[in-house]
Amino acid sequence: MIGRLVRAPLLHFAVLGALLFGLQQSVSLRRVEPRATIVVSADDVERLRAQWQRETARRPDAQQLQASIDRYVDEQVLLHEALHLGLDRRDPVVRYRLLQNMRMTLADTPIASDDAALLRQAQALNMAARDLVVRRRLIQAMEQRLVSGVEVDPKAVAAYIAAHPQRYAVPMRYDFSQVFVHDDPQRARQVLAALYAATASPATAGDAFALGRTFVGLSAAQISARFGSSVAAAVAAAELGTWIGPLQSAYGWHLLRVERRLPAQNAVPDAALLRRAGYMLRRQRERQVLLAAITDLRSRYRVRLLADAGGGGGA
Amino acid sequence: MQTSDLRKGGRARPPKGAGLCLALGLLLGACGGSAPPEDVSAPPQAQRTCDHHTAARQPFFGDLHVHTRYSLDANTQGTVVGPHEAYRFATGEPLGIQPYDENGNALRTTQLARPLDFAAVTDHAELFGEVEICTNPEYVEYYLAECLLYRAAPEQSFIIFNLVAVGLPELPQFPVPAGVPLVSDLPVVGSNGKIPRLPYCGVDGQRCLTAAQTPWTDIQQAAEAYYDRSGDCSFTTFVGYEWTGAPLSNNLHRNVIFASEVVPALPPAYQEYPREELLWQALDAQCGGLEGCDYLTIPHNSNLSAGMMFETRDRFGNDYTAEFAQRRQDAEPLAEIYQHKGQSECLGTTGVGAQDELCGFELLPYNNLTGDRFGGANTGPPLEQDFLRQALKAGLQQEQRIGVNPFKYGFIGSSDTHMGTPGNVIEDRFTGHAGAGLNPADYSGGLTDVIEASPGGLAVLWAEQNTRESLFAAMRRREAYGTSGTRPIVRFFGGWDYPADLCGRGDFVAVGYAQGVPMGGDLPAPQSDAPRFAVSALRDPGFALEPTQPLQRIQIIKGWVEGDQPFERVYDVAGDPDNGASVDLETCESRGSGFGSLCTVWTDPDFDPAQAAFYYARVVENPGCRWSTRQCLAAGIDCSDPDAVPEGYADCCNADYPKTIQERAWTSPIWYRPQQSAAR
Repeated sequence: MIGRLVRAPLLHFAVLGALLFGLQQSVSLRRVEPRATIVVSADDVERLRAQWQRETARRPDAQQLQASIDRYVDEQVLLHEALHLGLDRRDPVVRYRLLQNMRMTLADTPIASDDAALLRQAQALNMAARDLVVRRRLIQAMEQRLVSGVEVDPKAVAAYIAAHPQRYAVPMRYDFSQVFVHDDPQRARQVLAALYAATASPATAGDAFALGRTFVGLSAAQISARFGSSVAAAVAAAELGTWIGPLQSAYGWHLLRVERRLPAQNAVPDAALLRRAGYMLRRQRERQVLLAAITDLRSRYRVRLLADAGGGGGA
Repeated sequence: MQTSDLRKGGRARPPKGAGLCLALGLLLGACGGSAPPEDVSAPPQAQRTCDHHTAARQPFFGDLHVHTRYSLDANTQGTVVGPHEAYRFATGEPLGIQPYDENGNALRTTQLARPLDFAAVTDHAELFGEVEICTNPEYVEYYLAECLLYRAAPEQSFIIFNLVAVGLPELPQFPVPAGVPLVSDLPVVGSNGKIPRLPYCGVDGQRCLTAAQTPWTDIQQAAEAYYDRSGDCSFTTFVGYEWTGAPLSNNLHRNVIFASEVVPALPPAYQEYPREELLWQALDAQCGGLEGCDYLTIPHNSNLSAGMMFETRDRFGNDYTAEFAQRRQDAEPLAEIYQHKGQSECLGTTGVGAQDELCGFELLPYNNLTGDRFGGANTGPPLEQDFLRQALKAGLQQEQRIGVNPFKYGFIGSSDTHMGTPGNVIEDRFTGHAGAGLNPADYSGGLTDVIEASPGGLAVLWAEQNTRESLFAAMRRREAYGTSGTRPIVRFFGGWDYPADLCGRGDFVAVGYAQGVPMGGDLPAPQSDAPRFAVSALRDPGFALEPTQPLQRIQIIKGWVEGDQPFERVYDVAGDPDNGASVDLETCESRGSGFGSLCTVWTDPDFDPAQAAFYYARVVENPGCRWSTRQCLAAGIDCSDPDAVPEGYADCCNADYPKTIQERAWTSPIWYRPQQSAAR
């Protein structure tokens, strides 16, 4: 009798229809209705305030407290999403943790050895949201899902390289010879005259200088860091192949002859640079994607703030 | 043994989790699931010539001791800066530092006024797996008791992890928090002779070993991402880690620096290799025969080793043999002479040398890592034998006895930052380095670190160009010097016949190399009655908002052995120790004049060709305000009314610590050896 009923096409039709109807209802409802309301209670705000103070040894001002609350709401959104996707039922770590909790709580009861019953009980207690570890696990799992598709293609990496010339491009560089006079600009002028007259050799003229006497491939910034900005400016303005100076630095007096200027170059996105920059871009993308995804998810929830978060408590 | 090579994609088992798969699409080839990045051939490095290549060598400034969030002691304090961010900071970009707000935005930022030329992230290998397990919920062990403790009470767990992980469970005075039984339950050494990892690592630590691949791989990838392989050669990274051995909190720590991207699949850690010689064996075994896999280890904070760092016996209590000494010398060409936790140059309180008042510089008042944490119960006053000057002398004695010098150390400085901020070492605007110092989570507007801590120093390498090959070779030959954070330029050559007028010639550098050896070398066979040393120094010119002091003087420190007794002497060789330079402590303005450059050719007046000796130069700047003095001044602290001094600034009025600092540079020594002086 029952067997015949189960095999009846009409019943199949009815059950399938009901399922489809239900599915459609739930889908369309979800589109228009917020998934849930996230309540931020006065207790929550006070807890966040105390947490901030514990971590920074200062009371948060209004802006900082608001940032705290926003962060809390974001976490709640991620948690709801994780539960919505049923991550708490599928994740072995969460299951393990929930079962441990329940076995400890219900150790002396008949269902202590019945995992399914324990998990149902845990769900009824909303333990996934209450247990700190499970909550963090679910939030992180959710975050990982949100950024899991992030990839960067070579075109994007090339554009990233072009957009960061200060990091990847090569600035104008200079090669120059240098003669150092440690004490006296007058003596430096004499040496300069001897260099002009070729009665002194640039290889031995002047005093000892720890950095040596020839410099190659230095940018204006590097010259500035070693010799000061006025020497860097003089090098940039110098005529090639002519001794100039004396120029003063923190060390003493310099005579310089700029031998060569190497023009600035855009970054060459060869394989090595593409890979280097790719690691950096991907790291940046993941963070952007995560923030955007959370913003999007947040719009599907209603947030009710049951406390005054404005004052900040006299920071 | 397996090794991993990013370029060849030959890494051992990649751990699960998407974070490792650098989904660079076509760039990195197939990267689905857990496959490592495919080959993207990097240009051959050996033949590479940088645009700035200079045969006469140039100084490159860097930091080879940097901790990020992968080090547990940094992790407990909220450091979220990883290797990527640390390297980016080293190249001169701004970095947010803790405390962080709830959005993860940093409330403070810091930036280097002058970028570094090179850096190495050196996180504690012993804690890679443990930290990863505790903070990455992919791992089931996340939920075990030790991890819960770590997350619930990171401050206490730092101590516990440190003590247990490095074999300190028996310390009786240790203030164990309630409900933490594991410390006393753990054996010091397991039945297999290894120091056990924490229980959640499973039998023989296998779970941790697997997990450790995540931070280690990330560290390698960050090093790859920031190593400039173009002709510009603007920045060099080294793959590295810290081997964190400290039995009974007596510091034997070493930073391991690899020559290239070819490195062991997992970094040999203290748990498996609990003595330095075991570490070298393991590194030799894992690197052995692999093209490009080479390493050196850099001991640091010998000042906190309670007599252990320069012991002259091996782990079985046997005296050093020539072979053993050679192994140590080969593995360790350099030591850190200065960093966040003080200087390790000299103590100067006993024996000959006590007259060297400059040994009082940034001297920590205890002799091991416990410091004053437990009321001094496990520590004592600093010991002369823990300082490098004494070790160099002990090395000469050993050489006399067995023929090989085991302690042939050149010098570098480092930051030892635990906030992922390499090279952040200037006194002004010091943000604290966390780690063993003040926890930034407790930052309340007071001094940014404990009073005895320092911003740390820099490593300077004389190399032809800024590549891994060139810099690593400089480390090997010890053509290196350390600074206390500023950037003076120092050349130091030793020979027998340098012309007396060399400082008045433009070819100082060329003659220096041609007629002798640079810092770190061995004097050639005698060609005159006494060795001559040519030293030339340029002041740190400063930069923008980073004012610096001119030079005050150059000293040469000689150590030698007479009979079998060690001696030392400090010679002022250039400049003026009595130039009257001082600091107005009300304003931190400096007074008096100094030198923009100093140079001299010095002949040892007391040379005896029968005595082994070493010589190194110390270049000293005029005094400036110490970091703490600047912060106390900025906060308007008035010590005449102790009750009015705000909490966190009490040490402004601590008379035990100096108000000023004479920044300095220490060159690697040049050694003289009787008879075959050019031998190793």
